[in-house]
Amino acid sequence: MIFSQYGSIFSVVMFSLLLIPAVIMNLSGKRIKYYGILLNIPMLIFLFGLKSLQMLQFVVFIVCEFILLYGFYYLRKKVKANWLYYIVLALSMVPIIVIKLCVYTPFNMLGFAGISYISFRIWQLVVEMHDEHIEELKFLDTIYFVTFFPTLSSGPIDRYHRFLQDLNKVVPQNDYIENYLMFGLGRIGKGMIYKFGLAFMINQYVMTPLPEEHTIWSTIVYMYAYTLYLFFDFAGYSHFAIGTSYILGIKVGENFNMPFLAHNMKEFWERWHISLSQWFGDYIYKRFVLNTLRNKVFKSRKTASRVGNMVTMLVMGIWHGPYLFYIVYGLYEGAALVVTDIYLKSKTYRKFKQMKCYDFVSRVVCFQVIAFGMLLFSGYLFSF
Amino acid sequence: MENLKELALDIMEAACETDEVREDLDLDLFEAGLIDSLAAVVVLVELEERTGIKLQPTDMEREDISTVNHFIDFLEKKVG
Repeated sequence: MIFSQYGSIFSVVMFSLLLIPAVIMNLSGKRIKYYGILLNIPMLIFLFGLKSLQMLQFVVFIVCEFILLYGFYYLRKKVKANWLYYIVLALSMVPIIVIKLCVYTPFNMLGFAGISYISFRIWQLVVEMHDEHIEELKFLDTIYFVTFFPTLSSGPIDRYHRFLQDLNKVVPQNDYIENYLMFGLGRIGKGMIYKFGLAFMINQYVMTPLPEEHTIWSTIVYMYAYTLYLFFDFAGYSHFAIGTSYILGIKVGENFNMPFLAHNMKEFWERWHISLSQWFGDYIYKRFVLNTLRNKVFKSRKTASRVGNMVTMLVMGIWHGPYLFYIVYGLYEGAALVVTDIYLKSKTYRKFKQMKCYDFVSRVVCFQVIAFGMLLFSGYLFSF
Repeated sequence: MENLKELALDIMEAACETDEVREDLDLDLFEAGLIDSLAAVVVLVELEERTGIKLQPTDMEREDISTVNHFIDFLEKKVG
């Protein structure tokens, strides 16, 4: 996984400098909204290049998806039928499926940074429109939500209503300085340490020197090193994304909350890549369980939930790419959740929880489960 | 109002599978480990079975079911 968006100190500093006008505008009591929307344009050019294949795909993608979104927006009031919703949802998925499958064709250079995360925001809009949560789809607000630059390439995945609330308000001066500007700068600083300090060093001094030939020892070292590397790299990216969003007045959600302190895998997903797991929770797991219970597909709620866990995690795995190791990874994480659920409902767990060593032992065990999952995710076991 | 309170308690008891929910109506159910994402779905299923009101998961925020009292407020808005 590469996060090219904040990939170098240069790009982070440059982007931070472009935030200065936004700061001045907010401090003089003006809304940042329009500056933010304008700022998206040079930032996208910087990310993709003006006359690049990536930019072309991005523009075509956005135009098509917006035609679809607005088509649905106007049609849904006239045609109140579920089939329209399913067709729109399926059509909105066509680009990402085609692009992901292109790795098996001569067109494997197709794709652009952020397509997955932009798709999450678009599907969210389709579902929310279907559920009648969106009364008015304002063009500028919506395009800004979908292409909001700070979180474009890898999240955190925001929610439409939350985003709009922040977007349309002017924050009082003192509040802005303390809770947006200083907070944001602090996060960008932390991101520097995480990504260009810790993640860089782990990669440079532990992962890169490993021999090409995989031995048991090198695999174990790689497993732990990659787990820590991925955390510092992704949490570092998230610090940048969150920090810059705040300075632009958008209090986007968090992505990490000390994931390696989790006591079990259920808790892990409440601490790791939070915006993604909540998205999958709301839009896949809960809907799957709710619909299967409504239609009485499963006899017990427990079964519905466990099948839901497997389905959700499998989708999450495949979403990363059409490779065998992502499927294995998804199944592994799904199974881990099912086992965790059985464990949490057992008497052993209730007894164990009372013991002094509970915190320490469960965290150490959980970390091994996490690290093995990361090893599967890295594809290391499948590359020789 | 009394009815809503009973309805809220019945639904929460079924969803969390414990009558502990009756003891403190301001107890944070997430912090106490009594509620999880499955329980959140069961709340919707129970509500639908008891009142016929059909909701989607995103109709209900985490905050709405974090305590029994919050859930009573939520029901008041939805059931009226």
